Amino acid sequence: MPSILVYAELSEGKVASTSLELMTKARELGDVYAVALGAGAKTAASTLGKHGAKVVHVSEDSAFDDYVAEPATDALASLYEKEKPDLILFGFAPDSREVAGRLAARLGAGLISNALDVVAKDGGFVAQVPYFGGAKVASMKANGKPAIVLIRPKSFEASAKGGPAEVKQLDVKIGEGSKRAHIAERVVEASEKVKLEEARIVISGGRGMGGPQNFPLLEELANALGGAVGASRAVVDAGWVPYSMQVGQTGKFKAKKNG
Amino acid sequence: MKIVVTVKQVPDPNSNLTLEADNTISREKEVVLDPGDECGVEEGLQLKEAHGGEVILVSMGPERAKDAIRKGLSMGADRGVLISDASLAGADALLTARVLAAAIKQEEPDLVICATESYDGSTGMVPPMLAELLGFPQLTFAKKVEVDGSTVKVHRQTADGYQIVEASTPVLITVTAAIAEPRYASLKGIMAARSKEIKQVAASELGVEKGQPAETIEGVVEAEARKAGEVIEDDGSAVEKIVQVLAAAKVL
Ligand SMILES: Cc1cc2nc3c(=O)[nH]c(=O)nc-3n(C[C@H](O)[C@H](O)[C@H](O)COP(=O)(O)OP(=O)(O)OC[C@H]3O[C@@H](n4cnc5c(N)ncnc54)[C@H](O)[C@@H]3O)c2cc1C
Repeated sequence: MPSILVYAELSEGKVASTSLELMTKARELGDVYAVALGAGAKTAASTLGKHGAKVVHVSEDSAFDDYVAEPATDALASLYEKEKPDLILFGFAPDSREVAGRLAARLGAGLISNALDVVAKDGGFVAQVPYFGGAKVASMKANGKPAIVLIRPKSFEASAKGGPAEVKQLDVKIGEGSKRAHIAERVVEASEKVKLEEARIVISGGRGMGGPQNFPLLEELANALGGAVGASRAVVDAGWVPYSMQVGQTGKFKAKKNG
Repeated sequence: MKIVVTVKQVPDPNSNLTLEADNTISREKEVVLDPGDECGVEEGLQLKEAHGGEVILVSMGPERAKDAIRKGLSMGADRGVLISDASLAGADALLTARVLAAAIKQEEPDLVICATESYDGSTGMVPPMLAELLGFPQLTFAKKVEVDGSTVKVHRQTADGYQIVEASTPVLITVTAAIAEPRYASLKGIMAARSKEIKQVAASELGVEKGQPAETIEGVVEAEARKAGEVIEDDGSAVEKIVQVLAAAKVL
């Protein structure tokens, strides 16, 4: 059985929904273990167990919450040396992306980004990746040791299936040299009434809206319908609305079953 | 302050893409400076205007990628470096990052600016790989950058707002398109760009070996077709029609 390591991204101490979706896939592919870093990691371990992790490596060192990417890269690189997983799965989400990129460069392994799916084939792994802005799909065989694949949100459905995981304390010392990109402050701008990922109805606007001044019209409609407002990449890139509103390519993805 | 901006030449987002026999995207089409990188160049220029220094554009690509560099030079950047080598065609993200890192190291910059992800490959992986290979911290998804002496502070876009993240130079920054509206090149800028230096470097000079790529494309198929949307013209009955559509979709 291949061994699959899932990087569980924590957000405010909870396992991100994207990471739980990865567990569903990982269970299909082999023996699953996960790594959870930062405040709440131990509680997260029980959630990960319920989703199929046999072992969860945890550390609640505050460096993981206070500094971008580097402490987590150190932890994963050290875990890789010990456990030698065949495949490491990350969600295609901002924090995970940064860790995955640094890790792949440090291990000299390369990676497959932005995948929709990954399957076992001939003792290795093949990922499905959107091509041509999503008009086509490419099958990419992973050549890296380990194979590192980043999977887009909402590619699989999270489901609880498993028992308690064995929790292992990760033995890694985060040096001062990795405490560099310091998160000094977190600012919450908008409390989304209905979370975009969870909305049953999304009212999405693109360039056709004419400008940012017209987006409140969509807000009104969304409020009336109990939905959330989304936006195309073009208008997000143009700075009309924040990135958190992006749907579609590399933004937030609507699972087919939401309706 | 010495600022390196990475710039990639990409197929024009407004043109239709086609595939080569080896399943890579054809570059015979109209190509442009990646719109995300235009924002990177703009931010580099604004930081130079505020703090002094030099803006150097670094690109890996075929000979014609000079046009993308030239575009940035006409916006006001000082000089360019192009790593061009037939052996680099079809490079994966890690090889791209290795090549860029080797070229950028020679410049010893204080700041490296990249776009968050490119318009064509869109892996978003070159910047974190580059930061790792350069040994720099990364300040990412920046919608605002402030420099105070050797401290660089960014507003990092998050799902529900932003974080203030800071580090000391040298650092690598990725910018979002919200960072700055790219300026138009003036006629004077275009003229001046003609005589600005674009240094050409071969991969072999950088000592980067081309290893096995991270991925092998086994095949490309059409994605599940998406149904086209319906456009409702407002002839006085639009509201009624929209209500009908919403009711049919069980939204109401
Ligand atoms: C549809 C598609 C899928 C792909 N999937 C993968 C994959 O899964 N794994 C993989 O390893 N490769 C993949 N590739 C190849 C990858 O796109 C190329 O290696 C590319 O050279 C760099 O990656 P990117 O365009 O994704 O850059 P990104 O990381 O998205 O680019 C971010 C920024 O990095 C800088 N940058 C990137 N490339 C250059 C350059 N050549 N010169 C100067 N600056 C640059 C720019 O500032 C750019 O805006 C894929 C290519 C395509 C077309």
